[in-house]
Amino acid sequence: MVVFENVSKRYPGDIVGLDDVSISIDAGEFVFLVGPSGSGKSTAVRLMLKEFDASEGRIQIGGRDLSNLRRSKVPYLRRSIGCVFQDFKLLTDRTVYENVAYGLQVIGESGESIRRKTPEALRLVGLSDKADRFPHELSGGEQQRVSIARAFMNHPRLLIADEPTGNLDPETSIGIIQLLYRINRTGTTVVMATHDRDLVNRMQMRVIALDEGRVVRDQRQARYALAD
Amino acid sequence: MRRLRFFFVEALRSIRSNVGLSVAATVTVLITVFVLGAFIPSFLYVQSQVDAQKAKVDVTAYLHDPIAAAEVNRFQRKLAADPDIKSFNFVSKDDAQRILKERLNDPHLMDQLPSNPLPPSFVITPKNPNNSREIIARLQSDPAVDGPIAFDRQTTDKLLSVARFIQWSGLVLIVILLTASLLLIGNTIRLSIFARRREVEVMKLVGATNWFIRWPFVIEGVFCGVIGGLASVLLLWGVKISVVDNWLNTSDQGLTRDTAATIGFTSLALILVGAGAVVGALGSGLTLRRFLRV
Repeated sequence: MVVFENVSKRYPGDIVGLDDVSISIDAGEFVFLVGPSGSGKSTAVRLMLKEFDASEGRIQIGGRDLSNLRRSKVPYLRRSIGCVFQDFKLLTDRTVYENVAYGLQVIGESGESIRRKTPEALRLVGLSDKADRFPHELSGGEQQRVSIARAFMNHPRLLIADEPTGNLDPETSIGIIQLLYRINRTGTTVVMATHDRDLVNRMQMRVIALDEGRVVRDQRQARYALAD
Repeated sequence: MRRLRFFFVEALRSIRSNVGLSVAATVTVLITVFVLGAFIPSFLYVQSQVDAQKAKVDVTAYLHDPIAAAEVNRFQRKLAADPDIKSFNFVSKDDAQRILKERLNDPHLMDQLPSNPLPPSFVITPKNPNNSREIIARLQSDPAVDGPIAFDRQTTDKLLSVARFIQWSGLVLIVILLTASLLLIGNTIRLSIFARRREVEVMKLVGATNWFIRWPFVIEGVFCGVIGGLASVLLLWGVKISVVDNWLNTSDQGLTRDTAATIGFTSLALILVGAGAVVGALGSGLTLRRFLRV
């Protein structure tokens, strides 16, 4: 599903984002991308979304080579990837329902399909009763559920979560990770960048550890760190 | 249809969120289009006046130099016999030299010449000023005439210089105002891109195409342009009713009355609203190219 082949990314000013990283993630996997801030987790996420190109190496998402992908085709790549971020990225002047529906509106889905899929997605994340609330009326965990609902609307084959629990307390975080796990069980590949040690240890999933842009560990059913 | 509605709803949302700037941009377009709207008919009017005047003034027929007195007499009899000619005036070589001397700033300039180079001529006034073209056609082939018979240059030149002045000053003013409206619309769009950066971010994230993201902003710009255009058309309509029509009706100059038809107000209004829309689209388009990297 996701293949990095000797990928390096250098930012202007000789700052290293990734340094010769090779990763292969199969369809249906649940993978934690861990490491301290600045280790390259976010760079990896942004490369997968083709927000920019790798300086060296090859990246494939679902069999598509990103370096050959034309700019104009990038939107279609992103439609096949669901995205969840630490800061939720919700629109504050729209209700929960409108926020979720917005994700479908802007890719030109029909009104009928939006009316069918939106309540379904809200039910999946357990927010059916809060459809008419505004984001500021919700807790952090609920807001993140809204953004997960938006990301999962099109049943993407890959869901990328960049520090989705970064702003949440431990208990809420568990709720979110359980939701992501349930999504994973439907066959969606989940890649989650995090530095939430407890969460990773609890889940016992594949862990890819990055440090200073390099892969320092890639282990199945692993814990956050070897010492844990 | 559904998309169109989405674009319009988003554009209106955006206009609502920065009303002040949208109004400023709209007013600039209004002023630009108003000046354009005042300029187009006045320019066409002056142009039509020039054309009309050209056909109405005296014509000058230059004769061969030297020319036999008998030839001059024959030509003079021909003029006298022409039913379309009201009067004519013979300008001899000496007359011509005297007239030129008066017109030149330096009266001694002519003295430098070894001989008088000016040919004798007839200045002919037609009975009906509109017939001057036919008179010219008739006289041109006469053996006494040398060179093309011309309209009297002085009056037409004066009118032409007025026309040229209106043309250039109007053009300069319009270019300045156009630049201002483009910049202001651009700025409005830039701010609304900033105000809607969250939406833009989400749209990119979920895979909206570039044009899907751009359309609401383009519509916002065009909206400001069209509203500005419409407002200026209303304003021009008011000016037309209260000032121009009034002036045309009370004017005793036949000239203004029978050549007043320059451009119909409906076509002018369409042109102006169209111009407003183009300015709006251009202003937002240029800004989007620079500030909305997708």
